[in-house]
Amino acid sequence: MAPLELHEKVLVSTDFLETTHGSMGCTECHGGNAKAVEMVSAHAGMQADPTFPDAVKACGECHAKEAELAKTSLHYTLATYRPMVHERATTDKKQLQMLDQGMDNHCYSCHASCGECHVSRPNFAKGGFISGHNFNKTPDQTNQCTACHGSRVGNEFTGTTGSGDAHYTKHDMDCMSCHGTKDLHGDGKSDHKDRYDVEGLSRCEDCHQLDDQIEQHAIHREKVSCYVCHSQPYANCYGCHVGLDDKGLAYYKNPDEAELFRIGLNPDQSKVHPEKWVLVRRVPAVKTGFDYYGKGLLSRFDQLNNWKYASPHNIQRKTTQNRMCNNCHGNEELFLTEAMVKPEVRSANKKVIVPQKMIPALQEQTAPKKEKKRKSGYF
Amino acid sequence: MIGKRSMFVWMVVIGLIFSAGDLFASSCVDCHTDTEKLQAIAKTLPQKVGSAETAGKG
Repeated sequence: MAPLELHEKVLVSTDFLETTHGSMGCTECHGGNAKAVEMVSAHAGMQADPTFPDAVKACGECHAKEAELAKTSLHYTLATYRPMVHERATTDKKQLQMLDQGMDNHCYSCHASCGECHVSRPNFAKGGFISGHNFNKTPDQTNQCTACHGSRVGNEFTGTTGSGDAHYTKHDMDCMSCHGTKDLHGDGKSDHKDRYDVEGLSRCEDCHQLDDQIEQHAIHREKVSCYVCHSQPYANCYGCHVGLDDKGLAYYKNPDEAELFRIGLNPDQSKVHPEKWVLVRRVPAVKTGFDYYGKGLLSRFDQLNNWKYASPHNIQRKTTQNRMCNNCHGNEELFLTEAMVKPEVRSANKKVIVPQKMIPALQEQTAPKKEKKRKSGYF
Repeated sequence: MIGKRSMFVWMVVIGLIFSAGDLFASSCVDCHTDTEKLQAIAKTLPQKVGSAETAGKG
């Protein structure tokens, strides 16, 4: 995605002025002084994004439900980050303040408001109107979704890494084809421990009814997640460190990364994810990640696993591992065994590490059955 | 008595007086719909920069 020139970022299209939103005065949402004759006084008190941190004033009069949901949307609040990091953190109050400062400088500078999904590029992607301040009901995949979710999801989905996701490469679907309002605005609850806890998230089964006539579905259903059979290797990041440079600018360093495929034990089997076998991704959390703000801030790092449930966006009907039973069965390389986990985080990941004896045994080799040609199907 | 015609003239004059402030003031869209004006202003503004130390996938 090419960066926008500074003037392009704030160039309002004359079409916009003919729309419902455009017929309102600029200052009605943004504040500032429309009667001022020079730039500084015109922009005094102006709010570039009137939808953050509170969307109710700007959007609530017409979009009451959405504005209310914004208060608990994880896109807005990133509410699961802090408790998750705190679970790994020291209990010392002063040190926790140092950690929170670090989180505010880095983790919490990244969020998405109503405006950042419906009007402009997100701040994380340096902002700027995507269509002359026109409001788009459906976010734009390139300018908005993958502007943030690009390095993993975007690259995997479009095939910048791997062969891409069949939903995109073969069926021209975009993010919004699967991810509806619930996924993006949330379910109105504010006590989620994990982003996968939001109720009503889109699922493969919403479109793909599991068909027991397919032998492998009948055998593996509710034991193995869809991703285990239908994903390709995906991005894993090993060690994000954050800090401030000489000029006081926030930076992160996350140089240790790899495209891997690892089947682990589901650490949080639930009604939504009942499977025992899931894909796990190494997330960038590392014990020394916040050392810039204070040594030992994540002193209880082993409380949580940092190989986590993964939902790679690079689905294919046929993958290397699902072509033959023994591409997976007995294939130690695909499983997150103890040897695959760095010694310093083995204790943290004991719930997801697959003991050697649990790796499914090699199957007796039989000739692959000819699959009946399906009348209709997605892939 | 003021005739209907002169009443109309007075109303126009009063209206003009009240809107004079708006007529001579800048409005947001004068600049924000004009590419050239914005380009000229943009040249005078400092560029925001991120840290050069950032590295790796975010």
